Amino acid sequence: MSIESSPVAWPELAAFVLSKELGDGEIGSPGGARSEIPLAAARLAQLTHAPNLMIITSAAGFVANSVGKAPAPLFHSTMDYRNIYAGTETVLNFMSVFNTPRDWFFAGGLQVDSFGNLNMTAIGDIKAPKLKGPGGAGLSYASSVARRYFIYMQQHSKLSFVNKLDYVTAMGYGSGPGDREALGLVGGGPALVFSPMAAMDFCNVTKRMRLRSVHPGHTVEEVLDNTGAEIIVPEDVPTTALPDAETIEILRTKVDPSGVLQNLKGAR
Amino acid sequence: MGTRTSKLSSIDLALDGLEDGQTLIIGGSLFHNKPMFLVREIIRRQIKDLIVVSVPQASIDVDLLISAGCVAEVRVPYMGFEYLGLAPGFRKAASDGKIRVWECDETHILAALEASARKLPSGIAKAGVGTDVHRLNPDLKLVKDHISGEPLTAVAALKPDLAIMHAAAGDKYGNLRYSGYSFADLMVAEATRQGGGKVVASVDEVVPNASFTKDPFRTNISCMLIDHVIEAPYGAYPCSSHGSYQFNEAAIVEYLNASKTEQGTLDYIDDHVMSVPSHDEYLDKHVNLHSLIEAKAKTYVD
Repeated sequence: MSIESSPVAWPELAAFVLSKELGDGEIGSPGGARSEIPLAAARLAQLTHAPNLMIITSAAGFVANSVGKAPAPLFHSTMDYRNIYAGTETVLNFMSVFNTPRDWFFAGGLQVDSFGNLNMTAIGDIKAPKLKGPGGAGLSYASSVARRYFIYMQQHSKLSFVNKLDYVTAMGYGSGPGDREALGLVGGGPALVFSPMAAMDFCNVTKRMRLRSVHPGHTVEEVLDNTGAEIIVPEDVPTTALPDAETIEILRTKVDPSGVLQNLKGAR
Repeated sequence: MGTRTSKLSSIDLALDGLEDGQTLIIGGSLFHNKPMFLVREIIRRQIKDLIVVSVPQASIDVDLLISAGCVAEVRVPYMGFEYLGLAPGFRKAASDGKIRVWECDETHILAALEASARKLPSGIAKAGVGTDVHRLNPDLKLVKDHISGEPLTAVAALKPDLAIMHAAAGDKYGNLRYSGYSFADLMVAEATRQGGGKVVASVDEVVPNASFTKDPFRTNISCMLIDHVIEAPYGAYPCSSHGSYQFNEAAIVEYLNASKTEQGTLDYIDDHVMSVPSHDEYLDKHVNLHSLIEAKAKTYVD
């Protein structure tokens, strides 16, 4: 069964898979250009296995926990004022946003390489780029301090998964083991990459990206055909597990009652 | 006993001294709390070669200034429209080599502003270490920490000539109150003021000073940092005044669609900026009562 015909759209699957990565008692920030996906992941985690998880919407300093509160709509932007109705308990001073611990954050990028380094700067010659990206945002800062982070790519192609980035905007594992430590980057680096086709983690020893699971409807061959980065492919690559009926119910009635994730462009 | 001076200003007085090539910093973030009526006025004045700064994010404010030919250099950590897409004017101008892009991380701009606010020559950040940003932006120096020897990024204090920001309410002395988030506006005001620049705040509503004295804990920015206050109801439109009225998504998408062609961009600037000499005329031409009521109502969730 493919995601296209399965009961969940890929942004919902993303929210589900990513929610399982988030631990109870952690503090983290959803971010990136499609921040509704990680925001949903974090709220789903709070309403399932992580009731003590705290969300900081970095860009607006809202600190939220949804447990025991009335369901609120999911908005496209974490900066939307109406997120105050989604369990917001504290609003941080702007500078406190940078002075508060993070167990995790979410990032997107134009390109990602085999070691989880990210390019948000540009594709092509910087003087006349084919595509000028939006810029580094706070990725370099967050990736240097957060305990770990998650990367979600809206496209899985040879243009987005590459061996060499046009520009390094945020450092993941550099060129392999020991690089982060050598530069005094105290954060742990990227933990997971999620795309519309697959989920990838990183080998503990080599720090190279490794295929973890392939989403229903896609194959290992298809993933490799669309990946320009050299990645580790284990002998057995499982299919990404779909959420059970109870989790889908929570996702659709409490986390995203208006169906924002199901209706995202390219969701199906 | 003397009289306390009012800082209520006309646009002419507030923008007096703004010249080609100066550094302009804009408050708010993304499409929130952007003083759009001042942005439109700067375009009408055809100020050129500005260094435009905004942190953490800018969208239609800086993009419109770029498209209108007012900008030489962009210092914005994230230039885009988030879920609505990339910034068309910025992308095109960067690809055509018409603007310089000062590549950076949020913490680089904040360190530079903090340095200005504390009258230090420079600030430091960890961001940039292990990346290409030092090569792309020579103003960011890869240095070694004097104590630990750890690699860091140093950046000179950033002293804007003019700061413009938008708050929900202010009094005639310049005290400001926000309905929602104030983003980096306090830091922007501190850095500009301490750096010798001018700080201009537009507000949706001028309220009595007593509105601040009865609850000073709710004052976000002190009058000490503000040089001019301009009353501009819906002055952030089509952006939000965070917590007072929502951004108008359709009006922002209208800009994005118009920006798909050069002619479309020119027509948009003519229609929304050049042909409307004042904020009142802009409101008359482009904003209807229904959309304002909706923008207000949209700040609630039932």
